[in-house]
Order: sequence, then structure tokens, then C-alpha cells
Amino acid sequence: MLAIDVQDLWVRYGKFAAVKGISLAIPRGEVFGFIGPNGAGKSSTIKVLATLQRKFEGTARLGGVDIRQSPDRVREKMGYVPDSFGVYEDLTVREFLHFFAAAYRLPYSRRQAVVDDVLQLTDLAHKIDAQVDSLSRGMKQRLSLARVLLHDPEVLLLDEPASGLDPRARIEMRELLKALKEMGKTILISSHILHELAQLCTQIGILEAGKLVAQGSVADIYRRLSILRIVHVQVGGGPTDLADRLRGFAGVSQVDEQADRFAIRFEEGSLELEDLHDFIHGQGARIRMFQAEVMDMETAFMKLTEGITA
Amino acid sequence: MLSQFHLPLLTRELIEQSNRRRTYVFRVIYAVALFGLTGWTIWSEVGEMWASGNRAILTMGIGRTVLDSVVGLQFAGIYLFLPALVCGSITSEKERETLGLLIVTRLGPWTILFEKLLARLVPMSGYLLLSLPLLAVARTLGGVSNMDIVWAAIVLCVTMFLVASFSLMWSVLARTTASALVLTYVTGAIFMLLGNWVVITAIEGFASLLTLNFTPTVYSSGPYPYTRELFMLQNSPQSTFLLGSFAFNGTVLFKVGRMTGAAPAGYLLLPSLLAAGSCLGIARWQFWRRAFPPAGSFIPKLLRWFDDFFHRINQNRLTRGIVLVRDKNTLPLFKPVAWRETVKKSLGTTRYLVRLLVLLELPLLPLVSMVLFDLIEGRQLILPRPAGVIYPVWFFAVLFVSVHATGAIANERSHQTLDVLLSTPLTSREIVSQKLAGVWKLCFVLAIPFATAILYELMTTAEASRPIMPMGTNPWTGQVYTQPVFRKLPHLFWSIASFLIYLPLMAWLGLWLSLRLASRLRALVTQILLTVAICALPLLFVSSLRGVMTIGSMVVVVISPLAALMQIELHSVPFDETTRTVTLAVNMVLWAGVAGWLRFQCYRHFAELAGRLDPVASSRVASAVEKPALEFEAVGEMG
Repeated sequence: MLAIDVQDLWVRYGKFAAVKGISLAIPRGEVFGFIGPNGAGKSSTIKVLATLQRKFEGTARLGGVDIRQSPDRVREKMGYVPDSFGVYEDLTVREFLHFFAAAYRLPYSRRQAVVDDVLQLTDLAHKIDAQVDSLSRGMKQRLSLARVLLHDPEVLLLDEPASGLDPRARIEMRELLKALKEMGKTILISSHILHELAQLCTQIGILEAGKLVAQGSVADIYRRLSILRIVHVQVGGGPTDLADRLRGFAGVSQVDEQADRFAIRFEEGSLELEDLHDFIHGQGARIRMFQAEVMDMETAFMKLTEGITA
Repeated sequence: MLSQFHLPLLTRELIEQSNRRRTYVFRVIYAVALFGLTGWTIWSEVGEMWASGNRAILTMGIGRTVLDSVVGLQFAGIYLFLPALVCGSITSEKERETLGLLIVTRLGPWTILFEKLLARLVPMSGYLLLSLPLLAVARTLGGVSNMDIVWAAIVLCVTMFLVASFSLMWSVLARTTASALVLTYVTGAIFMLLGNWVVITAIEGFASLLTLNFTPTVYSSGPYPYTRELFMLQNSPQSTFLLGSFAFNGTVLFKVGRMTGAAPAGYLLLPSLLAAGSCLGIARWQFWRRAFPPAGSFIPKLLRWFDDFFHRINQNRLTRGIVLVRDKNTLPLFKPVAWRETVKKSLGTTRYLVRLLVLLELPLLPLVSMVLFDLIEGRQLILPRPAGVIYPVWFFAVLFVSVHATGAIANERSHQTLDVLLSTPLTSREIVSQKLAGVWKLCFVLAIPFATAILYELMTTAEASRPIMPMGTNPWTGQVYTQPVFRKLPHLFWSIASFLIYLPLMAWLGLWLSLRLASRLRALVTQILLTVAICALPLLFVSSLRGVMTIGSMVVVVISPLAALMQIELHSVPFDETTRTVTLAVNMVLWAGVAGWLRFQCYRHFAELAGRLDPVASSRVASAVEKPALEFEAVGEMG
């Protein structure tokens, strides 16, 4: 069964359409990344799924439940984290989590254990009696994730969870999301920090001006767009015409000679990295560095979008 | 053109104001109210006679009444609207975090303050200029000298400058516009209402020590507080030290100045100008210190200060730090929103509510003691009257309930926690009912000072003889006072009924406005203006309906909660017992109905107004979507 099933979704604000006929089918256990510029319709789509958008057209189901028919049942099945985190600054961490444990109607006898568990998972156990307003932004973000885990929802809806976090907090967040992925949660996450989604998501959807311009796995999208992968190689010794020999190697599209290295480009799927390594070694060159560049999501994004906002 | 005089801030503010639609809407409403009410005053003065055909003579000399009406309305405008205009001038920059950007420019604090002040005085001056044609009409009708008009203009301008400076001072001191507004109204009301009384009482006490003979003379031509100031001035015009009491009461300034003549009246402007200067001085002095105030609202800080204060005085040999009510560190069980409203919010916490109770009870006790002392001494009661004691309690109770209720949803919105709350399985009905839990607890605490005031009234006043306002005329109806028949049981009943109806009315109105309006400030200002309107406008309309038990005076008591309270406390309109009972009953039923309607609206439309999908609402949306002809309009909603 699909965790999220959206068909022909339209969201309008007056005469302005923020979302124009989006369809999504996200199986259980997937991590789906929503990428798009500001105003593309990411938050509006997530708000529909979080039962916070009263008026929309099309159908939207979460965990098999129609959002329009049974929003109260949908709220039991999902956890929503807005981009502002939505934390009560006047409470302590313990009070904050107990507040939402009561809001999610957890039995009182289980609450303490559940609160301890989610704090352990989010690495906030040592902050249990700290005032929320004394926490760093990264901690507040982890606390808001702890909040949505209290009732063990099937689906997590995370709207720009990494926005405004420093690099360490972003890495901690990414690791936490990986742990949730391993727990089998279905996660819909929106972000404009593209390479983070590439590392985490099993599927991505690129949204522009309210329309879904691409959807699929990261590799699928690279393949479809014919995006070249890059490997940086630094060698010692070897033949002087190594660059020309590399250009002649099957699968290599382009070789740039830089001051201390070669930048070798090839199409996804046309060449295995191990074969390239063996070829260079076979030419008598001693390899000092062999580094494949991280998937170039920015290029994919720029190719797919034209900078239009809805 | 203004930019050529190097007034960039003033230029920007005026351009912003001119681009706002509400600037013009307010101006039109103000003009309609001013001209409408003045027209009503003129008509009520001459209408009856006009119909009889005896026109020319009857209109002679009524310019004085028209002048009083116009100037009174303009004072009301200054006291009501100007704080709302000025309070956001500095705090809005703090809230948008743009004050720092202003400070790093070459504009100094004085320049910023004066340009901000001028930017607010310009629209208010426009409102004042609206009365020019009406002043011309007053002059034409006779009874008004040129000096009267000039004096009116001067006093209005000085009062406007004072109120604007006072509001600007609070705008500098406060962190948010809402707190600046509340502080301006509360402290302004204290200065206005109690300033005169405190100064005069002190002078009287001083005079009695020197065995000087001051016999109070009661005048009968308007609201009571200024009558004794008139007396004091007329008997000792050289007592300039008295003038401090006039600074915050422009209406008194105007009347006294007119009666005493221009020369001595000139001195009367000094306290107002000095007070305005002091306010600006304080604003400049605190400008840097309060430019970046730490987060946290003023009320919790104040209450924490009181906490420390009470803790210190509790540590003595007698009490030895005994704690009667200890706040338990509880966690929410089944009603989390109600738990947060009653345990974590300042005005909901038991300990702080006890502090509030003490704050309200403390001023009551000396007043009531003075009443008892007067009774024992066998002296005539003039001030403080038992009936007067309950008005400050009403003022603070309505203010506290309004502040609390208007913040219920608006605060969640401004702190961006509303979406999180709405995405939980709590139903809309549960959220609404739990959100007001803190307000009901506050009302419960406020019931104690109310009960104190009511019980003292009952204890200190004998059945069927109530020595309040023993002579003179009713300021609203012109009716000569007689000894009203005072019945304890009906008085107790109506007092309790008014408490049980008007405070919940304020709570539901606050919550409804909090749901409908985007910001707390707008909700609070709207609540204050609506409250003033429903209380005062009917009174203004009927101010000239002189005579016994007119239909107009009955309608006013039916419509206006303030008129009903005056009727309960002062028997301000000389109704017979049956009419009084019927009019009060209709009033209570009317406002209980309005409170019930607002309650229904809050429950019924919470999801719609808060932006949440509810099963009931969604069925309506679904039906709207089924109609393709209405596609855009049907699904349109501003996000």
C-alpha cells in the first residue's frame, strides 16, 4: 500500500494557483525529497498532507486514509514539522514532550518511557529539564523531531528541516533521518539544500511553479538528463600522452587537464569506476588520488528548472 | 518636499501611511462620527423648538454647547486613537528588527524620536482640522467668543502633544507594540482619573492641618472630578502647585481655562508641556537601553519582580517564609492546552494570580477604609464613594481579560506554533474550550475584588438611603438628582449578573477577534475600541436627552453596558423600580445573547479561521469543488 498517494492536486490562493495538478505515489519506507525554489509549492503540498490546507482540489490519501474525509484519522498517522519548528519556548523539554504526548492521547502510564525513548533517539536526554528557549537551533530542530515521534506515526512530513542549521547540526539531522529511515518510516522532506537530499532520499521530485518537473530516483534523474559524472585523478609518472589515451578509453566523454590533476567526465552507467582505475594503472601511472565527485544535484536542478516561481 | 529638509524618516512614514487603505477608511469614519455626533447635539438642542417654528431665538447661544460637544469628541479621539497611532512607532521597528538599521545611520536619537512623533502628529492634526467647520458653526450660533475657540485649539494641540509624547515614551520602553499600548492606556488612565483625586486629597489634608476652611462646592455641569479643582482655582489662583493634576486631563484644562479667563489659563498649559517634555526626556534617556530589550514579556518580568519582593518580605520573624499556595511542578494529564494556559502562562499561574489579587485588593482596602472612617465620623461621603470603588476594578478586569483572550490564538500564530497544535489529533472544540481555561481562572480570581467592592457597598449603605451624589445633576441626562431608593438585594443580583455576563462577553469577543485578525495588536486595539464604542457611544447620543425617563435614556440603558453599570451603581437615570429592572434585564439578556453568539462563532468557525481541515468543513469544501463554474472563487483562500 502507498504511504502517500496524491492525484491531480491543486491548491489555490484566490486566483493564484500555488500547486498545479501534482500527482505523487510514495510507497511505505521511502524517503521522498521535494526540491524546488522558494514559492514552488512545496510547503502548500505538505500542508495539504498535514491537514492544514482547508481548500484544495484533487485527492490526497495518507496511510490509505482520505485526507478530506477523515482528517482526524490522518493526524494520528502522521507527524508534521514546519520550517519554523513550532516549539513552545516557555516550557522545559520534558514539559514540551509531555504536552504533545497528552495531545496525541498517549496513555499516561506509557508517556515517561516514550519521552525517554525519543529523547535518547534524538540525543537530547541530557537536556530534559532545560528550558526550550535555551536550546540551540539544531537542538530545537531535534526536539521537534522528537515531538513527532511520540505517537510513532507512519509518515513524517518535514518542511525544510535543515534550514538555518550550521554544518554540524545538518550532519546530525541527516544521521537522525537515516536512523528513522532504517526504522521503516516514510519521510517526505522538502529542502533546497540539494546535495543533502541526494545522499538521503530514495526518490526525489523537482517542483517548479507548482508543477512537478521530474520525479524518480537520483540515478534515474541523472540518466534522464544525461548529466556527466566527474572523477578527479592525480597521477605520478606514467606516459606523457595519458590524457589522450584516457580520451580514447570507451565511455569517457571528456578529459580536462588541470594543474595537478585530470578531471574525467563520463555518462552515468557508461563506465564503471573500477574499470577506469584499472585502465590508468595499466598505463603505468601511479595513482595518488582517485576521487569521484558527489552527485551534481545543482546541475540537475538548474537543467530542470528555469528559475520561475509560481 | 520633506526630504529637502532632511527628514527622511518622516518622509518614509508619511509615504507608508498614504499607501495604506486604512488611513483613508479611518479618516472617513472619524469625520462621519464627528460630524454625525455634533449634528445630533445641535438637533437635540433645537429640534423640538425648530419644529414649532420659533427658530431664530432658540438657536441663539447654543454655540457653547456645540463647542463643548466638538471639543469633547476631539478629546475622546485624542485619548482613544492617538495611543494606538503612536505606540507602534518605535516598537514596530524593534519587532521587525529594523531599529538597529536606523541607529547605524546618521540619525541621532532625538531626530528619530521627533520624526517619529511628527509622523504620528500629522494624521492626528488632520483629524483635529476636521472640526474647523464645526467650530465656525459654533461661532455663528453664538455664545462663543473668539478667545474660546483659540483656547480650545490650543488645549487640543497641547493635549495631543502630551498624549503623543506619553505614548512615544512607552513605545521606547516596551518591547512589543501590544505591551506599549496596554501600558499607555493603563498608566494614562491612572494619571487621568486618580491624579486629580490624589493631589486634591493631599491638598485638602494639608489645608485641614493648617485649619484652613475649604468647603467643597459641587458644580453640576459635567463629569464630576473637576468640580473641586474649579473651586480651588477660583479661591486660590496663585496655587500653581495644584496645576500638576491638570496635566493629564485636557477636558478639565479646557473648562477651567474658559471659566478662569485666558491670562491665568496660560499657566495651566505649563504642567502639560512640562509633562510632555519629561516624557520625551525619558524616551531619549532610555532610547539606547531599551533599543534591544531581551526576549520575554513585561508581565512575567513584573510578576517575577513581585515574586522576589514578596519572598523578601515573607522572610521575617513572624511569617518565617510560610508559603500558603505552592505551585506544583505538574505535567499535563488529559488537557494539555488548558494545562499550559493555567500552569505556564503568567496570568494563569495560581501564584501570580494571587499576586494580581493582592495588587487589586491593596488599593481597594484604603478606599474602603476611608469610607468606613467617614461613616464613623458622621461626615458626608463625597470621595471616595462606595459606588466609585467598583469602576477601577471593572477597568482593570476588562483590560486583563481582553489582553489574555486576544492573545489566545494570536500568540500561537505569532510564535508559529499554531500549525503544530492544529496538526495534533485534538479536536477544534477541545482547542477552543481549553484555550480559555486561563481566562476563566483569571475571572475567578477577579471575582474576589469584585466581591469585596460589592460587599462594602452593601455594608456601608443603608437600605433606601444612599448618600451618593447628594445634589447636582446627572452629567449624562441633565436630570436633577434625588435620593435614589437603594435596595440591597436587587443591587447584589444585578452586580453578580453583570460580572457573570460582561466578563465572559469580553473573553469570547477577545477570542473571536484573536481568530479573525492576524496580529494580537490589531485584536487588542479592536477589542478596546469596540468596548469603548458599545459603552460610550449610546451615552454620547443621549447626552442631550434631558428629561425624566425618556425612551432614549431607556434605550441607552438597554444597549450600553456602561450605562447599565451606572444604573446599578448610581441609579444614574431616575427610573422607577420596574423600569429599572426591565431595562437592566433586557440589557443582560442582550449581551448574554451576544456572548453566546460569539461563543458559537468561535466553536463553529475555529477550523475555518485557524486554517485547519475538519470533517464537517471539508464536506462543504467538497461541494464547492464540485461546481466548476465557481472554480476560482470557491476554492480561493489567502494563505
